[in-house]
Amino acid sequence: MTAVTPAPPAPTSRKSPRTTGTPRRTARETSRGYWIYLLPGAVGFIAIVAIPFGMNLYYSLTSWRGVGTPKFVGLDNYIRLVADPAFWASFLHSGAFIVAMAVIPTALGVFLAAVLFDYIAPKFGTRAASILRAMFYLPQILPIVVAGVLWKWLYQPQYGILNTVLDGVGLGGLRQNWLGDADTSMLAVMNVLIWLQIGYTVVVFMAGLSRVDPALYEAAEIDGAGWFQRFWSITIPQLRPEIAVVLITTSVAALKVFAPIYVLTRGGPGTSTIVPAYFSYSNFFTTTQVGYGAAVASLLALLVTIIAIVLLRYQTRNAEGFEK
Amino acid sequence: MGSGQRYGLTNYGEYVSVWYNKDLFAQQNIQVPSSVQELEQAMDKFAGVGITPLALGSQDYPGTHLLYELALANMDKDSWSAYQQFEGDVDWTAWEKAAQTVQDWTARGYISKDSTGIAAQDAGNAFVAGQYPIFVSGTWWAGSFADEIKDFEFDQFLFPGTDLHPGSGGNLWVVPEKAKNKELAYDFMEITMSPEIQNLLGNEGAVPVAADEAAITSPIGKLTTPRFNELLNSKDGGLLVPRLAGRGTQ
Repeated sequence: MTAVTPAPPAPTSRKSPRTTGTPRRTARETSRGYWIYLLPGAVGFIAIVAIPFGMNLYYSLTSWRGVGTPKFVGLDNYIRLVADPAFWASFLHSGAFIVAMAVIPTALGVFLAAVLFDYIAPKFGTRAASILRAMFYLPQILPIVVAGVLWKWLYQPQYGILNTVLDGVGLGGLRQNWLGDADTSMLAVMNVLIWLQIGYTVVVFMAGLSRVDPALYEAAEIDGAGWFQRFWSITIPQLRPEIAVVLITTSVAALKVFAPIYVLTRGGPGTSTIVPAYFSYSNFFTTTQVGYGAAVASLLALLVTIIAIVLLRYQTRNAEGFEK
Repeated sequence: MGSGQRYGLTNYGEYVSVWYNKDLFAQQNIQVPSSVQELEQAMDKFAGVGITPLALGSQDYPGTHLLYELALANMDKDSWSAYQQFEGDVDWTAWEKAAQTVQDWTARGYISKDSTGIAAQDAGNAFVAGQYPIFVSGTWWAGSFADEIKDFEFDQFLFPGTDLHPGSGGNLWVVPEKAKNKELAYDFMEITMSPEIQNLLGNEGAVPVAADEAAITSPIGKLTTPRFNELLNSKDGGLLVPRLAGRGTQ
């Protein structure tokens, strides 16, 4: 339907400079001049991203132990990959980590930011709100290795804090081998990641809320809107740009997640918490199947890029709609 | 880096064996087992009185080490060569049997169901605390056991029922081809190989490769160094695993 309707030419479209000669030349000169400024960034990109990525693509077509001479095997690694249950398990787990690192922290983050911003701050003062915000943010400052050690203590099956507390309150029947049992390990890891991510989302959303015109809330309050109505009809729509940014960054982080897995479970028990980045790492450095690990890394890079582009497109469209 | 053959020098070795709490063995009137069957009988006796016999931290390497010990118990020199040195077709049934044994031992209460959530250090600490009578692990514990175990006597026996025992040289010193001060590096390596340092390592239980056995006088050193040399020099069996990566990368 929309395809047959020609879009009205926008006044700022690229074609417009052609109507006059002078602006066109200026535009060209300007764009030539800018290339020099792109150079430092381009050098960095080529050295740190493009060349290693190219090498990785090459290694993914070889059988290589990391030392010696790589043997070219064509697409063998990729063929093996699509038939490898551990690989599929790792991508399935990426879905769980998007829930734990993007979806839940965003939802909880909007809610907590709103509570801190227009309930805690007016009632108990901005100082109380700032202190709480800092507490939510603390896990973000903590080195992930330290956080991992702390959580392993909490989860330790025999004398860990969690099981000890459960015993103490008479719920000893709920004791679990949290990280060591394939039935609970995923949930235990997801819980750590939610705890880790909430600080980030709360801080971004609180910054977003300080941008929102207070008159909106005042007007709504005068019209008799309750807290939840204001949250639903003002806070969430007003925070749309922030929500989009947070969802992109956290989703990409979820797809690349490595350190928390490395510290907490190393993908285990079995493959119950394995993720693509760790799967790739273990092929590179533990089983020294470098070619195979490179194939995983290449597919992961492809997938992350596609998802990031889709999300960015979605966000740009949303932001444009928001401005209109 | 450079090209061509790569060489490394190690100044210590290690092997995996069975650490045990002599006091707890004496209490239950258990002798050092000489076969897997006797080991199972011993563990059964402990399990019968409510003691989980095996300290095991399967969140780290100890789970893998126990599994390998059990697989070796089902291998001979030829099937081991096929597995470890790529000589011939590997008979995987040794590993299947080993995995089955771990499962059976867990079901019978020889291994705690929590072991998969326990780190190596936790398992070692629990052995030091006297909570478990048996800990299948390596000589890298020797020094800390000698220092920290005060409340009971401990000793070590080789995993029963097999002449094949996992062990290796330690981490390797290597000098990169383009190193700026190679001679200094060689001098340092020579120091670590000197009788003084080697005997010191031996007395700390750290299993030196070139110590004078007569100069090693500490009890822990007398336990680990001669046994390592004996394994190293044994023709059938002995030390088996070439070291490929640092410990704890499993």
